[in-house]
Amino acid sequence: MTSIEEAIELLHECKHVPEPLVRQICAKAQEILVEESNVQLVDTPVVICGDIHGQFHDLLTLFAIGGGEPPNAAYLFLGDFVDRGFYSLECFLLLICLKVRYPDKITLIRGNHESRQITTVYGFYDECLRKYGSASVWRLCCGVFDYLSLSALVGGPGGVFCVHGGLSPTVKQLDHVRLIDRKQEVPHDGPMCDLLWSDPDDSVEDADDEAMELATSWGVSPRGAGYLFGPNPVHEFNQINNTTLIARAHQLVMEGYKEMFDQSLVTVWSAPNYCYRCGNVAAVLEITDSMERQYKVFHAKDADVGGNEGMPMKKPVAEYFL
Amino acid sequence: MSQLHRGMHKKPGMFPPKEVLEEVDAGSGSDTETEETVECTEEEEEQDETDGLGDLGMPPPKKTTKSAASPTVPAPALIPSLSHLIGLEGKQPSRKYAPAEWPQYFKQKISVARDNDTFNVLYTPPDDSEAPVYVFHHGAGSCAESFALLSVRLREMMHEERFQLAATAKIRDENKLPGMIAFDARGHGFTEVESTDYSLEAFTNDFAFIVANVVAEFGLTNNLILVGHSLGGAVVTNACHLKLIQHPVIGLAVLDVVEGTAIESLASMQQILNSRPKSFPTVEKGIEWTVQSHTIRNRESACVSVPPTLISQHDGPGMTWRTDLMLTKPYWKGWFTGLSEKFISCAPAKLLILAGTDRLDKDLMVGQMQGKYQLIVFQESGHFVQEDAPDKTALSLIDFWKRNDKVNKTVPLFGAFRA
Repeated sequence: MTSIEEAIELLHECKHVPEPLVRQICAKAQEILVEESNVQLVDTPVVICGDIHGQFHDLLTLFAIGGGEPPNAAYLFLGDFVDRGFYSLECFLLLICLKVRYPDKITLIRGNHESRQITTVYGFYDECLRKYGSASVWRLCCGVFDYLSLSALVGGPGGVFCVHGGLSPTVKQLDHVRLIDRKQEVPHDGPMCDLLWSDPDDSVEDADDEAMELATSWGVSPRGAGYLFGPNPVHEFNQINNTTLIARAHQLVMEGYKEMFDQSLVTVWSAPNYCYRCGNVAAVLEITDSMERQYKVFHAKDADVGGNEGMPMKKPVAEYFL
Repeated sequence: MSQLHRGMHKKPGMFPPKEVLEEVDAGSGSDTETEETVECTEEEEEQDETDGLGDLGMPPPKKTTKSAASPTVPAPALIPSLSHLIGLEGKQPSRKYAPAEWPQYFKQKISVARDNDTFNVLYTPPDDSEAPVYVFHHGAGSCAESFALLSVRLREMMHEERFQLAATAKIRDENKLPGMIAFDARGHGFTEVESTDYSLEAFTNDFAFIVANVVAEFGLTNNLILVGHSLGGAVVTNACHLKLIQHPVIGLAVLDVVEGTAIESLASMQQILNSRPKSFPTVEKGIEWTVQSHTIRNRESACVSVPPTLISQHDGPGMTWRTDLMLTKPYWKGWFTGLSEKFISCAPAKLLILAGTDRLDKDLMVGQMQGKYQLIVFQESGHFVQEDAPDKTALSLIDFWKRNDKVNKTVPLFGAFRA
């Protein structure tokens, strides 16, 4: 049994993976990821998955729903593997182990949470510290984050452009994505930031015809990074790049998925009952060989919540707050 | 120098004269060339011989620093002035916890009257009509000066940034520093309001009244950014939600308050209040306790924000808390109930800054993951984020303004920007 297979076995049982083994996995994953394009080409059929956020048991459910773990089916993950859930490390390690073992059966692209700055605030850093007593495993994982691709094109011409967040006002063509030097921490602005942070926006307020043209285009994102984009940039982008759909994640959708702008864009969310309390369902999107879309909805495992009892959480000490 | 300190040598317990518009010339952070130090004349600043926090029944400080272990240094009575603001702090032979006052941080103090009530407002005018005006509301038990250091930092950092941008020829206009409005809420600081109604509605109406009044008084046409800390966060959110501000509001920033966690912790609030010392022999000791108990983790800020929260005791020597927070207890739940939902549904751009960890309730968690607002967490800060981390808060509020003000737009490669 190779060390990768050994690690996959440990992870299936949600057991501790020794640090030297993590080091090997990360090194191998980097070797593979460095060769990938910023717009990774992916064949059909493939199961497109949204945010995971450390919900390991739900990730296992996702594989069961999608047709079995690779190599039984092919998957494309749109990023945000880590943070907020209790098993960020297990999720990320399992995904990169599968990537190393079956590189053609799984594609991983980067989400805004695959970043040093974000993971120190939203849980992944603390989780690594708790599980290993030092930040070295976190550092190794962040090293892998920098090599993750930024987007994918499923099914070639007429296919699906896949990205974590959305469009950028400075990315008009796929070649503009290919020009980005991605091997770095996620920047605070610019095209790489926008691809990971932007959101579609269909809140076109009561505007007259002239103002409508503007209202359906670009806006400021309330998130503090990236942009809001209306239907116009989506239609234009699809036309220029000969794509028929933009598949993205990044936003919690209570129903698991949501199509917008005459079905030219879809949000896929794959973390059921997000953060163990949001009460949402999750979904994945299968793109078939004939480019049909098949959504599969799934629910959180009850056992997941119970299984987390006794997990140390950072509970703030009661202090003056009035 | 005399002008700078007009009105400074009052006992903190005294209400300031009600005549409006004490104007000072110096005192904002942009005037960094001033490096004078000021002699201090207040009587409570004489050397305190006892080293006895314990004598007063105070809880022991969580962490003792070198200075806590030894009595106050018998140094000449000096308080560093603007030298604080330009990083010379510590190089002055100053007493560590000497009180500071508002003129170092704001340009004017004004009184806004309503019937028999007067509100104490600290004001710094914006440099022109394109600069934003930040309007602050402090939390319960605090005062306008809670935003003193932040106000100066906002102007300093905007100044620095504009200087850098001008150097790279990206902009021409160097003169757009923001304005500041901070005031003491009812029951706090030097504001005098007859009513003892401490409901969210009362605070909210006061806030809208102050904003309307100051905006009219100075003829402001600037875009406003509302900033509220704790209870103040609930007040500014409520004012936004009810659309009580008639003036253009482009941003709403809430500092360290989350409905779910606030209401959850109300049960322990009384105990926390009871564990505070009831009184201090001097203002200086009050500042010292505040810093050493980590209530406010920034000494410079505590030196200006603590004095207005203390008042001379009626029955005996020393100082006690000006605001009796137990009187507000019946209102606590009402302050925070519905906050998350109101915050998320408010129209202007929204920023939430939290201290320590990301402790969102369900509504805010869903809202955040749907991209409804911006969340920033200051891990090293305590509850008083604007005081503990004034630089980071200032930078966040400047970025927040730049993103959301229409004067700062770039041109996209395709499509167009909304007006």
